[in-house]
Amino acid sequence: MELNVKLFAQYRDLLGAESATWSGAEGSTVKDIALGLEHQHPQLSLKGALAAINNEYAKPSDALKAGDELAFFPPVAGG
Amino acid sequence: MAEPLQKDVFIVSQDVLDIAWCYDQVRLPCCGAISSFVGTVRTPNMGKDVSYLEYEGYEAMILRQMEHVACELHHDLELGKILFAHRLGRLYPEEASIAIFIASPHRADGLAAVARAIDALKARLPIWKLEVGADGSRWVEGSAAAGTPL
Repeated sequence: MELNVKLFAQYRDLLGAESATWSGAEGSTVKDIALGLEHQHPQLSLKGALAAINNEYAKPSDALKAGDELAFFPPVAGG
Repeated sequence: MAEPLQKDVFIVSQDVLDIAWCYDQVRLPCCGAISSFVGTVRTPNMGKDVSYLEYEGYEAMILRQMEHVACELHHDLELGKILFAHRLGRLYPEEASIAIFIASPHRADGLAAVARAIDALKARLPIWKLEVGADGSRWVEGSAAAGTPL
């Protein structure tokens, strides 16, 4: 499957883009995809990042399927 | 569990928050209280003068998380109608970044709901702020409480 992964704030700055394309096996986890993106983009470190799948907080062990929307972002600071 | 009497209102906007409009959205004849919180940009912060903040957000997820927080409040407290609004973009000191207005039949549940709401929204809304001052800029440290960091 292929995913368009959204990146926000510091991670967007590190990547130099608001999203990145990831290709791999269906059922790959959030952690797998983070490691894959770091491999593809050596300037990107996602250590400490939070993840969301389809607008809900996700765990590193959560698996993705085709059509899911994945996002990585730093700890949040609204208000 | 009290069902909302009317549909709640959730807003993410680049525009100035119109506080009087927010208040009007939650007025209900059966509610004897409207409780509110408005968060504003502060200077100095951590001892440094702030020229402005750049708020960035993940809009679809902000709206989803606002819905979750409102649902939990309706479940636990007797409330009429809830409005959550968050502004994004460049905000200067004194400008409002977040508004919470909650109508309730009685004040105790409304006041409790506002206190719970601001804590939950700060912990859960995917929003980040870049603080800009005379000596440069820095990302304001956030909370990871709502998720599981990699």
